[in-house]
Amino acid sequence: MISLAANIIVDGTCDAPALVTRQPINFTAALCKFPNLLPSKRGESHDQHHELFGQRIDGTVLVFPTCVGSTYTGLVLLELVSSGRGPAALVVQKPDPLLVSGVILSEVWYAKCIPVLAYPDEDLFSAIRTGDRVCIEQGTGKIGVERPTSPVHGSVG
Amino acid sequence: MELTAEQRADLNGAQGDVMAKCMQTLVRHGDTFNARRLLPIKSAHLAGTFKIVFYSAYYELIHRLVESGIKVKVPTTLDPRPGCRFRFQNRFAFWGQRRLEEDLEALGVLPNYSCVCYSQTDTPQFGDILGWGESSAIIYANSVVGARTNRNAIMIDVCHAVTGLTPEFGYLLDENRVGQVHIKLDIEAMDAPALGLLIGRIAVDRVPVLDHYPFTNVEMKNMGAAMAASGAVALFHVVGLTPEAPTLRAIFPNEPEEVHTITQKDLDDVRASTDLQRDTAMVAFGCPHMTLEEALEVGRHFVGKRLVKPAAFHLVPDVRDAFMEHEIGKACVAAGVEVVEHCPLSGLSLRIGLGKKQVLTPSGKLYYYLEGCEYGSLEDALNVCGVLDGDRKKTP
Repeated sequence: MISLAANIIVDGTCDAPALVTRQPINFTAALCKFPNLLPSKRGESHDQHHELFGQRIDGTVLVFPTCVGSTYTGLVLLELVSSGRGPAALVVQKPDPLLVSGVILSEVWYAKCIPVLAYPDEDLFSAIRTGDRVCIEQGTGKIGVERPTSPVHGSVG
Repeated sequence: MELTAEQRADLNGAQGDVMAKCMQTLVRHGDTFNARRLLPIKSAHLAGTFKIVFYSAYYELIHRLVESGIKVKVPTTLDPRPGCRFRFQNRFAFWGQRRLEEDLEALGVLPNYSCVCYSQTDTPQFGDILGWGESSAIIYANSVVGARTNRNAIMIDVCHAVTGLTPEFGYLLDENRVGQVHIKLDIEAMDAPALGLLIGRIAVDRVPVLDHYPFTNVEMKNMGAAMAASGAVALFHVVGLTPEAPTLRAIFPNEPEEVHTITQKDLDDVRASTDLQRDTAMVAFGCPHMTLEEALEVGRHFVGKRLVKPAAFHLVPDVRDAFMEHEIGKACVAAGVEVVEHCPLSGLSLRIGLGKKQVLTPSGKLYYYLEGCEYGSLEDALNVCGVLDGDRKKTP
């Protein structure tokens, strides 16, 4: 079990599998496409320029450098987090205002929230791999990482 | 953060629960980024003008604001409409669009439906503090005008508009407006949107500084929009051109974190191959919206010609009217150009034959967001339309 000390941007708890990418994520390009219309595909990434194309981000601890792109990011994350269809947590190198505001909007207006943690160092991507079990404890900023014994198929990062 | 007595009263509900939530949103957001206080803004610009059929949370909040009788406190403009009258599929995808527009207009916004608000209705001045949404408008206001706005998410922009306030952090502060990445140019034929796509990937969320190049404002609009799509760039400088970068030394008080040279080959690699370009079914111009100046400049190529492939110009409603009265506008329509006022992304997202490579665009932003889209330089796009004069034809 690896433990990383991160900065708390939005506090919270989670225990979920990691989905890791070194590419910044454009949430608007990824999640406002026609296939996302289906409730079962609401959290499926459809950004044709991104390596996570076709993968589901809902229920995952999404680990990525930062978010890029449209100010619709706020609307997308507000929707996903407030409806419980979003990632379980966001772990980023840089806490971008668009990313953070989507979660804060859900917290303030819908009293639903997910943890957002910032860990700037590059070893983030060697410490957490796709499929690892990630635990975040409220109030500590500690990210616990447990690697499953068998390899996970279709992993990225 | 420090609040004035009035701001604290509003936070505690002096103007009702919903206004208190708006204040709470700004304070919570500002506190996260160590903002010291809330600053008054000159104007707001709202990007959340599309009723995406499978999303609801944001639209419910807008309706709650309307029900509470809340109005915007500063001049507030709006992003474009989706193409709900354009194609049958869009009527379905944007079900509820009319109610959203009624709600937004009930807040007291100026319903200009423009992503280039800065070119007409909402023209900021150097140093103005703004509370804007719309990544392409934000980067233009910061970089080309020298006004100051953070990248504000949808709904955060609404909270700005109804309070007239923005938390002071990020690009509002001098220390965050200096250069971080030095972009050197080794190119012969400028292709500003392609350059923007490349810079967005290199700079991500940092401030790029380009060597001097005599970009037009239209080129900077299209380049900035691309940087804000492939990256999170909110501010760029061009040495000796944009207002905050008189010299390289002035904009780099510290050494650049990174120096990067972009070559002609890098630019050309962004363009689709000749075969792919030829295979496209239509050509879309204007994302962000074409300004009148841009539509006239592009449109003059179409005078006296006949399109060999369908093409659409996307213009702000007011600008469309002016363009249609102009002789070049009339000539474009005669050549077969469809001149529309909605957003090309929403207008073309649900076209028949979904997912097929069928749109060519000289817009870096549209290329990034639209599925089944190829990029071509402006010259490529004119060439594929069949309106480029023979001696200027180039193949990628």
